[in-house]
Amino acid sequence: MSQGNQSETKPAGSGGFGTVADSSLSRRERYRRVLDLWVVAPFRVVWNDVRARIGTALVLGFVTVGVVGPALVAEPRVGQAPLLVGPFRGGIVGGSWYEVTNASLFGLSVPWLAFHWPLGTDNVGRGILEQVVHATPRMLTMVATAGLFVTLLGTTVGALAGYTGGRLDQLLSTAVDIVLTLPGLPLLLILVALLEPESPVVLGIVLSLQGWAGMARAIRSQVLTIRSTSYVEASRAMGLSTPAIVAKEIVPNIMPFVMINMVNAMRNVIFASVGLYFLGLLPFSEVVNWGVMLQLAYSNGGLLTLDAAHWLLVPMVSIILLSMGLILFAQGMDRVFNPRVRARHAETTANGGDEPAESSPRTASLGGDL
Amino acid sequence: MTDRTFVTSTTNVPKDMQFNPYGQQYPDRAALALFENLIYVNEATSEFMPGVLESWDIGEESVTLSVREGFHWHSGEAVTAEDVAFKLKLEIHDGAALGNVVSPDDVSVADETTVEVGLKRAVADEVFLYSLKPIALDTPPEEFREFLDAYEADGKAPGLTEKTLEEPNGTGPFAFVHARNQELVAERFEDHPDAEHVNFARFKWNYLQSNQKQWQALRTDTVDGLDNIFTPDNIAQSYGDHVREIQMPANWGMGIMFNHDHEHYGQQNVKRAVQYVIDRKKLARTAGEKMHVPVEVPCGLPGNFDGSYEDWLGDSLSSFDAYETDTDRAASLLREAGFSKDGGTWTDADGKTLSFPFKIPAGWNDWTAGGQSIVQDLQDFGIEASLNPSQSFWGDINDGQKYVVAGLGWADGKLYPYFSLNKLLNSFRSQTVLNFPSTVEVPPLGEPDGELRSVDLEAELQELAGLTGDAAKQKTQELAWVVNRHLPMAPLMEKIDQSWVTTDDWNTVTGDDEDAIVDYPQYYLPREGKLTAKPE
Repeated sequence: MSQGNQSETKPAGSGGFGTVADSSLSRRERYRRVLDLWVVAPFRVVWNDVRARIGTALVLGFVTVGVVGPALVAEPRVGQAPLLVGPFRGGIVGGSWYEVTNASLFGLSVPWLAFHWPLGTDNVGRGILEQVVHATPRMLTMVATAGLFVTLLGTTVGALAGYTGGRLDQLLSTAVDIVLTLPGLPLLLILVALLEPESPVVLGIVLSLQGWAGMARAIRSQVLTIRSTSYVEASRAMGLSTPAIVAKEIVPNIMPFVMINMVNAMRNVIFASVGLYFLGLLPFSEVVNWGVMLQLAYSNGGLLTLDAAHWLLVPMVSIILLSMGLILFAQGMDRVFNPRVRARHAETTANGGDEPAESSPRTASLGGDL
Repeated sequence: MTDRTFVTSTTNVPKDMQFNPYGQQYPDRAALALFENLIYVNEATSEFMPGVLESWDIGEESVTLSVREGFHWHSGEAVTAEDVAFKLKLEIHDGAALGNVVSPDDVSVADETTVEVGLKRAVADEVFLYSLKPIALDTPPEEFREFLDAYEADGKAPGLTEKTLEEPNGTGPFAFVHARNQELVAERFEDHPDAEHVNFARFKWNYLQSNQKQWQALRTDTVDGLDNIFTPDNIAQSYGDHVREIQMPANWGMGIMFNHDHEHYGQQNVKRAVQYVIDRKKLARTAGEKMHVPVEVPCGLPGNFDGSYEDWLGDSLSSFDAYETDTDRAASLLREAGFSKDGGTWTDADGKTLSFPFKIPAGWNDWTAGGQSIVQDLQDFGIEASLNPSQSFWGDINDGQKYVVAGLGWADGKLYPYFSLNKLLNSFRSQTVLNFPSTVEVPPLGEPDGELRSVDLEAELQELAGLTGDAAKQKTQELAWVVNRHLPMAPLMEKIDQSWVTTDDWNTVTGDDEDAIVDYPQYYLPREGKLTAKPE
């Protein structure tokens, strides 16, 4: 950024445009900077932003539940407990939903807390917590599949069309238009009826089959705009390779966009799957989705009596929390992908660069440079 | 006399209702108030009660039916024996069960109030009367004459199912007033012979399509009663004390139907294995303990709610396979049939897995709960079943047979065993929906390894229809044995229907009164003066 000044003080190498590093970095220093800029700084960004912190905590929390939960919590089974037990039976403190016992750990007896259907049970005697936890891995797999599918396809097609232009752009844009004009819900209903998908991966893809097109269309426009900005033209004029331009100039600018689209795709697939299970359009062999829980709770009068309200509320809260976590996470990621914000939080950039990290007027003028 | 309206619910859109009993939009339940049945029956005791027919005399070769005087069509004309004979002929031509024992030409009018019916062969009283039971006087001759004429001319009556009526001309204690999008209204009909017992002015049906809406309506007192609706305990308990439940045996319940055209589920061993795997006690508990009893011996006979099937089986009871849950037995049956367990799942010799979506009608809460128990049992055993509550259930099952294994009622809703046996072994359904063969081979009763005998199901069921006493018992046991061995369906549970009447504005009886066990209390009890409005 400030190479201009220095090049004047140095003897020109080969031709006026040649640049020479003002100092050489040791390999270790280089790694430290990379680590700082790409790992530590994002972490700091996240830590300093409330939304990002909550979002990340929620998403990580769900991932943890999804990964280790099923191993810790008993599998939900018909008839494993009395029917329609309320949550925290007997009161939150002193209730019969938990029990202090001893467990044997490597031959040692250690105090242990045993839970008995802490969130209550449903009308066939399955624990609600148990169901929510055991449905989580499948929910996450489905959500992640959908997110990946939409993002990969949407970004690739959009960026390719926007950046290359010409015939390829026309071709890809036509394809995107066609996918966009397909009637979504009927198509979905037909596909679901035909495939009767039970695997969360297949379900994730089927439910987001149209989502990528909107994203591709948006990314294409974004890339078109960025492509003709002066700094990208300059990079090109300087002879930077296309991958380098894409990585350094284009991606950071479209990342917030990609993130929010990805998260939206994920949320859509949560709602779509919940909706389809709720309507009873998808087959299920066990409680594989919070939508199944909602459907069963609703159809058994979860709205009518307090006895069954927890059965409806728990999956609902799970859906809201996951959806909210994803959104907050995406918003936080906005800042992580913003090079300015990241640079501000990276120690190495602050030291090595010429701007003090804390000075806000400086940052503002920096914005002008970009 | 009060100006009260008894408000109840209907799951049919009132405006789309068609009061042509041969069409698709006939509202069975509402029709019970608008039309008079020929006879009524107490579902717990199979005791028959008069309706349009005052009395009946069933002989070896003919039956004499006496029409009760005082009935009128809502248009004003008196109901005569002629009307009854007309209806019987139309029913027989249309394929009603009565046609198995009566030919339409043998229905004749003896005098103003007497119909003579010639029998094709001797028939048990219960078989004849149960065949009459579903028939209501709902086809005014002036509207339906052309169809009977067509039937009599060449055996066909095209257009009968599509026939529409501007307004129903009924015979029941309530006459049609109007049908709108959300409500059907009928008013007290003064010329009904039991009108003196009815002291309220109107009957009104609100369109409440789902169970949730009906529960909600009863909770909020926007209806005065519901004819028959499964209600989970927690919801029943949330109703006030003024809501009275009347339980009535349905003589009906969930079974598993197999598509016998399927390479796996047409096999006797596979069907028997499925029956062995499912824990019926747990199933009944899961589906709702109060409303479901497990089938004790899967032999096609109803009566598990009071054990009355045991009387029919008599000493042979112990010879029947009770299919107590036994996964080892199921496993050996499957191995015998060439299946092997591979990675926890049963596969056939070609490596195809035993798997199916278990299709049930969407919105049937008790079946959805029970279905989860069934699917869990099957999965634990190694059959990859999944639960599929389907919106298009009836179309899939009846029209296209787009199913492999599904849940369906196994019994016929009547306590007398002939009907359920006939439904399982010889009906239209068993032949064209289950694709069950018309001839089967069975070992002698109680000797599973004995020499096989070939049973022509149609002939034997016709024979059973005509038998009484010990002969009927003997034949019932033989055919129940066929069901027990071949399982055209796997009988699992028997249901208790739940009917609801509120008592804050209404005087009514409890389930102990034998008239309360007639389908359904809110329709039958007013005729007997046992459901009356309290003074306003």
